[in-house]
Amino acid sequence: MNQTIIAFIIFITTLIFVSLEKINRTVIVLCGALLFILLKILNQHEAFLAIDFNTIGLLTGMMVMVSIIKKTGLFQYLAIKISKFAKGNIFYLLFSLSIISGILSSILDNVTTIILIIPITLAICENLEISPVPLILSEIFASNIGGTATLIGDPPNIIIGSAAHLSFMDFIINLAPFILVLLILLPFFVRLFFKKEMSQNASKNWKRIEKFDENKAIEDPLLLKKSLISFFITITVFIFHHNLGLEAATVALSGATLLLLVSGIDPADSLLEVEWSTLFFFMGLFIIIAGVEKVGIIQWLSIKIINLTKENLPLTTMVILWISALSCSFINNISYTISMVPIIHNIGAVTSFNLNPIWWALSLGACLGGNGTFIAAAANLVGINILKRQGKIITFRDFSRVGFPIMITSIILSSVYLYFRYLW
Amino acid sequence: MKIKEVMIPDLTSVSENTTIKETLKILHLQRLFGLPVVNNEQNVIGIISESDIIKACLPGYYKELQNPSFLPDFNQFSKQAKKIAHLPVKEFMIRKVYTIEENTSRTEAANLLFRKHLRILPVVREGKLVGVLTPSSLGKHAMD
Repeated sequence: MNQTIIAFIIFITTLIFVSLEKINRTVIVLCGALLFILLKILNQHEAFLAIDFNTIGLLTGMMVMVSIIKKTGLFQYLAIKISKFAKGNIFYLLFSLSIISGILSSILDNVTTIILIIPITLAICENLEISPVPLILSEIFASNIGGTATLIGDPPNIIIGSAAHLSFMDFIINLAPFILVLLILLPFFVRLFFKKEMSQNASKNWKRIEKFDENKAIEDPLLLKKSLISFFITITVFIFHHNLGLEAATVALSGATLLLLVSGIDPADSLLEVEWSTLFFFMGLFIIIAGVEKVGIIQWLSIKIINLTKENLPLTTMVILWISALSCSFINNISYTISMVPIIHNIGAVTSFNLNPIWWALSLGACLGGNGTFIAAAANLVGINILKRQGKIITFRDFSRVGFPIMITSIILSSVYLYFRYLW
Repeated sequence: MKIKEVMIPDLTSVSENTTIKETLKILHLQRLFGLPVVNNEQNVIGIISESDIIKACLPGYYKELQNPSFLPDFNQFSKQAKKIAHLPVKEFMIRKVYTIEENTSRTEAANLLFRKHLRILPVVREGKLVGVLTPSSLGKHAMD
């Protein structure tokens, strides 16, 4: 059998097993990656070179920073403070909690956002004696949407930023304003699906929520000060990182090291909280894609896409956006984005396209696609599991009934946005 | 020296259908941390401890919160406690229970208590309850 067929089989088998989630996804991609090396499609040197350490470094740096900052209680404080603005109005509560989830997830990873926000929402809903389901689903959707706004918000953006040399500010200028609009629209949309729940009386027990003392959520004020200073320095450097000639990973790792230095926290503790399994998942995928690229499959796919879209930039952008969103409603958006990066590079090499609209289409499709079904994103599964532990079962159908229309609407709006901003 | 010489030959236990309220009363009277749960043949089928009961009295979201100290007291604890008072032990007991045969050595028992962080260890003869072992009973005996 020739190498191209072997590579194709390994690649497709890996993708299928990652989607099925029967075996740990990291183990699957490491098997795939090692097969590429053992079968001599790639040698070890080529495999190691294929790993994008800018992506790995940025993820590691952010994981260390978040592991320290979340200990301060800042995020709980913000969530309680903001939910108090609702003053007994259930829609305002839905609105404020969705917006804070979206904003937090633009700087934190989506799963961390969900783990922090959902328990607070459960406490609020139980005290108000209302159903938490619409609020929690809205928070999950908001975390997937909010993550799209920045370079550090969602792994596909980290991958795209690194591959396309797009800076932190490029994401803020090109995606954040549009994402903010989507975030504001989201609660109105969710309300349509939960008419009965949204008519519950939240004002009856609102006094209980007024008694929540957000100041008590701050566990370590000194650590909070140190964390905030380090975090703002990091974000400031992120804003200027391209002008300073610094890669994103350098900025994130410097921020993490600064925070470790000033907080005096033992790195052994913070490093334990780094999701090593996720990092090895990325590394395995980078190797697999390098193997697939080496045997020419990526080039073949790129040519197919170019032929299909007849070298028309608007059409190519729309095809990438919609294929990404529909694919990432079912398959993992990290493996999808890592696979698409070399395809888009190839399209750029063959045509004379300005690739930026295509990169934004990939980001919007891969991140927003996560709302389509509950298997599409880790944040969805984590959120639904927390609800399950409280005895509230959300089925695949329950989730998709709301999530899929929200995903489709967000992609229609993305199409309009991309067309009028970049392609018109 | 074997465990049967060190154990507390106390057969206080509850059945899986004993209510939580009754169990708590026994725990309080006997000043115990936990009680073995036995079936009609006196076979140990679980263990119920004070901390299992306290955990069951807390609202579900407490366990998920990073730090619940911002929540004021809304009597949710007693509300939940009243709710579970008349439920049977079987709903809250730990089914994966460690037991020790009466002829086991003290070192092995100490090792089990230490490694599994147990505060009470039912002692059995062919699966049937004959007593309990606690870290203090074992330690006290060793020092005497």
